[in-house]
Amino acid sequence: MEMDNDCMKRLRRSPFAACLLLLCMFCKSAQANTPEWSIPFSLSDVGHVLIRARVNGAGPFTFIMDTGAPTLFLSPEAAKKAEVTANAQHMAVVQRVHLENGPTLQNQMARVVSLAQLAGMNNLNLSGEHLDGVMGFTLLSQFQITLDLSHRHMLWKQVQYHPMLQIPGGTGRELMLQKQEDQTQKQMRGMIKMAVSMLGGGKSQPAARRPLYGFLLAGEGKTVVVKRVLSGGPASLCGIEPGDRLIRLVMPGRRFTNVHSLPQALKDLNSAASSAGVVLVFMRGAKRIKTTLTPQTGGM
Amino acid sequence: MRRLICFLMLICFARLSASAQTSAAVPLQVLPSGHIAVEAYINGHGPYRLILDTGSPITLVDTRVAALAGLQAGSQSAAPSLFPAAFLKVKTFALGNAALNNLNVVVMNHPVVSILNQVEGPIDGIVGLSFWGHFHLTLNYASGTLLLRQGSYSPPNIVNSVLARFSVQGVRMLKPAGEWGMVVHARKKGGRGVRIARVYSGSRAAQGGILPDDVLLSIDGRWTDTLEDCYRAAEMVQPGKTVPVKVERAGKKLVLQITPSRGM
Repeated sequence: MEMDNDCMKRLRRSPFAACLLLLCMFCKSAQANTPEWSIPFSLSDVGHVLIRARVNGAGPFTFIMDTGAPTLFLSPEAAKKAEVTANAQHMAVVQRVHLENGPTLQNQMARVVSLAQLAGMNNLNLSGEHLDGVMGFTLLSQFQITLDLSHRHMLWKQVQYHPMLQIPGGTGRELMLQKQEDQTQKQMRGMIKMAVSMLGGGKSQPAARRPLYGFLLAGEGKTVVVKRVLSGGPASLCGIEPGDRLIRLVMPGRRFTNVHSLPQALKDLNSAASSAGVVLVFMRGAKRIKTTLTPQTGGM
Repeated sequence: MRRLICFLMLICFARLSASAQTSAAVPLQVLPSGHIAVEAYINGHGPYRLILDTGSPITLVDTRVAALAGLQAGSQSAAPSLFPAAFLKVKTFALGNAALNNLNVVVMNHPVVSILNQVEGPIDGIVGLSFWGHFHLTLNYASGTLLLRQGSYSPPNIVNSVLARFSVQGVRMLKPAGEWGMVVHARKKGGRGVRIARVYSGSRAAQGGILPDDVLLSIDGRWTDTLEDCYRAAEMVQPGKTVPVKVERAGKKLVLQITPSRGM
């Protein structure tokens, strides 16, 4: 207490020190109050950073995070679901954009167009996910974005920035940009149409889900051993025990494979999308055991 | 008091010098079109004005810059012969102090770059994921700053990835990275989230407090509106990592902490 009083007296005597201390405290509290969010992302099969958002409560929709795009682009299909109405220049104001695990942004400028690149990727199922739009400058610039692709989330920190919105029909320069962009889109559509007809479009299918087996396998040289069994799980129910050595497996509708390595066994087991029984042959000591494991659909 | 001031100054100085050592600050210019222009050096030549484009998987330069930077056909890498572009390896490619060796670059006169060239002054290409993906990136339009710090990620060769997509047969298989010990079903009445149909006794889901009939709303911040969403979210969580899981139970929202184990 004496020390505190002493310190206060010194601070009163030294206005410079008091100001410096106040400045430090202010900076710290301002930093602490800046809203920030951990936004999950995924990387598509062809190298796009994908983030998701609900638009006017509909969705979630998947967007490419794109600093090369001027604004938020929505496909006509997504705009319809989200009840977003565009004007004659395809521009719209979106009432609410709720970023996954992030903030809800009000009144965001958007263009409602079918981008040739997105349509092409969706038709060829290139991305691994259906793409609904692109998030560009007018939305991204409201945040400081920290991104490392070795992580699963990125950090978005709100900044005070009010980007100028480009509205087609504005200045001559903007009109020129818009006109040329439309022309490029037209050219790209032609190219992509050709690519789809050559490579075969409409490949998009819903993803399959691997069911639960309820065990942990480990590789020990050329042998594959059960390390743990989930209590009450599918492996446990068919009598598999820790220590059993997996020597052969028969996936549904396929010929048997002799197990020589962990990656090979995992590759086979991970390819099952249904709860059809998998025949497994184990060695327990010198005893050979054959059993049928019925994996649990929806299990994880 | 002097000691206190010195201490505070030391902290500030230490923070500044640490960041200066580990980060490369790249000057950027936000163009009226909203694009980000940065200056790049290619094989020591430049600077050339390129667009930083997180939406582009490739790094691209136009034929004029390729000629100026002395990019030779001898450095050409394997690429589809029908594609109207050259695929080259560049010895050094640098934005400020952030540099990479042997970067794959596409040489072509891209129509979008041509448009920007006419509207925004000289633009010579695009800096895409093949470059910036190697770095821990911090972008701030408001302050006009781009910080690049060497990261641990190495982006895939996109040409190979695209070709692989066409060669893969069948549907994509989603598989959780770890074992949670629960069963999820779609909700019969609709609505957001998936229903927890079963929780295995002693499993990580049980240890974390998940109960049957909970509605699972998100895993590690990712919405789980559908079973596919749920599996995609579980694919992202490595065994041993504790993540927040949001559930709805009897009308109340709860956030639980779950650590999936190894297993399948």
